[in-house]
Amino acid sequence: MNSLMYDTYTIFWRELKRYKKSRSGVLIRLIQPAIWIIVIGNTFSGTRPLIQSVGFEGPYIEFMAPGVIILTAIFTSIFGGVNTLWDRRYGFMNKALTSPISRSSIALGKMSAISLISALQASLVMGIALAIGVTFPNPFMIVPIMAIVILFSMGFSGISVIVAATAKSQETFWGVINFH
Amino acid sequence: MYSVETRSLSKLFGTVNAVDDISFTVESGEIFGFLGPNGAGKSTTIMILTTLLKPTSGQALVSGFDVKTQAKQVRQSIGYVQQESTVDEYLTGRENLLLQARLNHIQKDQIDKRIDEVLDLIELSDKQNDPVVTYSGGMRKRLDIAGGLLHRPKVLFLDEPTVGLDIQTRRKIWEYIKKIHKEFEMTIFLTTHYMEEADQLCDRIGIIDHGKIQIIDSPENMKNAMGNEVVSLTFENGNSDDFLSQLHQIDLIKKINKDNNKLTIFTSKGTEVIPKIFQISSELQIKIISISLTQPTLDDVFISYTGREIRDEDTGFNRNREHAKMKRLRA
Repeated sequence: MNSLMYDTYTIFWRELKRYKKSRSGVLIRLIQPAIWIIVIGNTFSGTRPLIQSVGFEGPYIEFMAPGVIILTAIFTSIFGGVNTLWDRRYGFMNKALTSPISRSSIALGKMSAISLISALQASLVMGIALAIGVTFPNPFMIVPIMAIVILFSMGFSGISVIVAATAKSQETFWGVINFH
Repeated sequence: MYSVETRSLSKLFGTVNAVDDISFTVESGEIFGFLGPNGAGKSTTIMILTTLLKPTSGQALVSGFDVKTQAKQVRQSIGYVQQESTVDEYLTGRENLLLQARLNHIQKDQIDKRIDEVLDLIELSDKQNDPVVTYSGGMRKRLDIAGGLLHRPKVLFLDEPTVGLDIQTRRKIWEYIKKIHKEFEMTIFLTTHYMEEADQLCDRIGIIDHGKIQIIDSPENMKNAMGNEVVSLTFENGNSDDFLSQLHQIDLIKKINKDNNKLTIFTSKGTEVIPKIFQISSELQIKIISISLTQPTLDDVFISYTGREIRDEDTGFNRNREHAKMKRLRA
């Protein structure tokens, strides 16, 4: 058990190191949700009767913000398996598999790193939402929101890693991942 | 106890016998080379021995452990340096070794000492904090080898350690491999398709082709078995079958390889054989265009067993191109 934790941390550490070195990606991946929340959120603000009809009494931006946050988390984690594809192609996977670390720690390490990154991205989107006027009924709402974000991220990154690890070709991976 | 032992090991991919019933042993502390053309089954054998592939049938023991049933113990006793560089480009040299040390469960208080030790050995200490992106091909390979050594494995597998490197770098890598072997007294199992490399490094060589081992012996014995001189000649006209059968009757000739109108004749006394060859050729009215007398090389041995030239340049080129393509995709 102890060794599983240590091995998971080893893989987790490596994934985060790699992520940190590719900082430009963080901003690029933020562009799309930012556009959604800022542009769509404002242009659709005239559709209040529509959201009122489903029983929501706030501004439109508040109606769509949770959806954008969770979508950011899902997108980030479902594409997180790409690294696993590279690892298979460039031999890191073989290196890990011929070392005495436990097999499940490879998947767990990757999943937890992806989830952390995706929670980070989601909280940045949440920051944008707060900055443009979305309000919470109380600040502690952040806890259940992040819990759901992490739960979703773990699930979707798990699917992504499984597909990336078992796909016979890269095309299979992209086909399956775009299917979600 | 042998470091590596296989008993009628086979691996089938569909209907292709990549490894076909091979049995061999590697003594502890020896440098053993697996030599063969591309697609001969070298890498498949290494992948079985490093627990990456399961054999279809037969048994393989590494450091006394069965690769099928004691995979974890096997992994604890081996180091594996792959054909292609597997270091993380965006990490520094030292970070890469730290990762390798953690993957191999080196005790925390030992890690720094071990990393310094191998960095010193492969002479990369001054570059250890630079990202690997800035390293040359040879430096990356050295870092790869260092990673395989960190945990002082009992058996070190090197899969084509010098493929794609220039001649100077190749010689440098050979020096490191010799140094490692002397310093850590580990068994080294390497594959290569460079004859010179096998000749320089290995105590014993196994030549493999079509998934079968053709011969295992020391480089010296292999060359001696071929006779100590080689007569190469090209000819035209005449019945080559008659020519060949008459040549075979000369006692001093040990072996003849024929490639169209080119003959490679292995003999123990070239100077005496040449006049006899001319005598036979003039009787059969065969015109000899050129003739030369040389020492046999392992290339001659290799081709006499595998019967075809190896074309490593092709794959080297494609691999680099493939690599560049993937890099572009990733960027």
